Amino acid sequence: PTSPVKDLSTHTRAMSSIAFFKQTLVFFELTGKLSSDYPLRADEKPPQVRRRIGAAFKLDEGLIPQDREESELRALEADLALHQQIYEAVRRLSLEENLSKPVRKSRLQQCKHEERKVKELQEAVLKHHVSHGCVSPQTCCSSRQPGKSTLAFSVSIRGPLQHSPVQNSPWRESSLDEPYEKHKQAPSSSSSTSSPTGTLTELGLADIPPAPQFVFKSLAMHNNHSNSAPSTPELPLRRHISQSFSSCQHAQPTSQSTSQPSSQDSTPLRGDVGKLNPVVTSLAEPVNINKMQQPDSTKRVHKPPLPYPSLCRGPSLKEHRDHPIRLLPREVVSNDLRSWHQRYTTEDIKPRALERHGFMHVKCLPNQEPPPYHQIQPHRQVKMILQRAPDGTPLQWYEEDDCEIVSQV
Amino acid sequence: MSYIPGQPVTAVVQRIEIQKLRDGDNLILGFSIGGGIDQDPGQNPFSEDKTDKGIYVTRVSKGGPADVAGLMTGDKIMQVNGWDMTMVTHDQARKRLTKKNEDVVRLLVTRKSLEDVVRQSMMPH
Repeated sequence: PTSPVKDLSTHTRAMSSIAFFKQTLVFFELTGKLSSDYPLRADEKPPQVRRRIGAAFKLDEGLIPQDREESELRALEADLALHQQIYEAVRRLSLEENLSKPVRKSRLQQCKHEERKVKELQEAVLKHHVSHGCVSPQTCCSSRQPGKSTLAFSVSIRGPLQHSPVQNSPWRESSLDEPYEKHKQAPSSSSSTSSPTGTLTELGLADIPPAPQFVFKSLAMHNNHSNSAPSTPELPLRRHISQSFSSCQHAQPTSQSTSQPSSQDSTPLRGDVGKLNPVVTSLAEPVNINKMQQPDSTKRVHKPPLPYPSLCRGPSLKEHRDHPIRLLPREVVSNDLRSWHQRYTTEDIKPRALERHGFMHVKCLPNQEPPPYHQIQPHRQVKMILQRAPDGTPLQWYEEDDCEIVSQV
Repeated sequence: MSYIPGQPVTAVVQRIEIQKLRDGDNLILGFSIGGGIDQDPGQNPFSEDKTDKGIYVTRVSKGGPADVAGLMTGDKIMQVNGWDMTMVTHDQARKRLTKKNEDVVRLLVTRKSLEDVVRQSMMPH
């Protein structure tokens, strides 16, 4: 009677008989002992149950309530210890090898369930401590047997007092310009700031990328980290070269195999180039790449192919004394970008996309971006004008039906 | 803007439609978010109520799609394409916003100034 059996069975009394029956069987499986509550007739033999090896555990005896007069806290602590052990056992079971998929799944589920249960109980014990005015949990939680389970518990409550089962991680921001990855902890991204002041300084104007850079990104640059302005103009050139090189290979496969590296050597490169192809074509026009190309680049293409590693490095045009990349200051390149951006924005690319959604109508004047407010005419019925442009065009209004502020952008 | 989780929220909201910018395989929104139910709300520099675990706009890139659409730093995102954003984890919000098969996201955002504007305009002149 003075065993977890009693405690478990009192818990289960309220359950439906079937659930209760199952539970006693599980208990039997786990402990090898038949619960005294197991419904046996006098002449009936106890059932044969194969004991689950590996799931057995021993509880800290001191944590098991000795009599009914034990405090609520003791009961909670015992419960917690019990569930911590159950959790550990379930976790071990879920890690077993050679499990069929459904079994593994159900064990993982059990594992999660128990984990939650343990957390809940930890919360409950913590609340109990708080409500009874204990400053230090160590001083008032069962001081007599600081067993393993109590240790784990006291570690967990050293953290901030929280009632939410979800543990807070430091506040951070993440940019939405990168594709979604689950555990993004890249230190290169400017997202992981833990202090509010840090976040604020990050918002400084200096940090915001200038508009032309957006244009550049929109040119299908595969390099996500092209934030450093100086390096960007190099990329299209390198790619262009490797592309022409590969097409040259295609054209004269025989001349290569005799002298220089075999065409197999460059197969990975060709695969890469295939991916890069659209990049090159989309870049060629707007960035004025033809201006950067030189007659000697054609010469280079017809030279016997260089070994793969040096190609990888980019058989640098920079090495040429008077290649435009040396002659073109950064300002010139970014001016090119800017003018391209202006064309891009004024040539009705974006506005049309927005018009499609019936949200607004934009008339564009050349050399302006983004479209100024006064050129926007709302199509919607205006309910309550909150803000008008100088010429009287409503910019922002309130729609009572939806309790919404709508603004033209 | 405190509220009880699970209870209806009344807020003046603005509808913002962001047309994502294609960048190869990547879609650019031009803003950053912070917050979520899994993050410490006390460190949120934008919230009034330091227990608010909502999703906040922490940064808007100048000239980017979000900027063009009228999103502002400090805005609290209430919905994304109709999905609730007031009780989600940081990553859930990120996932909702960066779906690759959606070129447009429709946001409902709220900010303090919206309420003020409405209150002012309701007053008789």
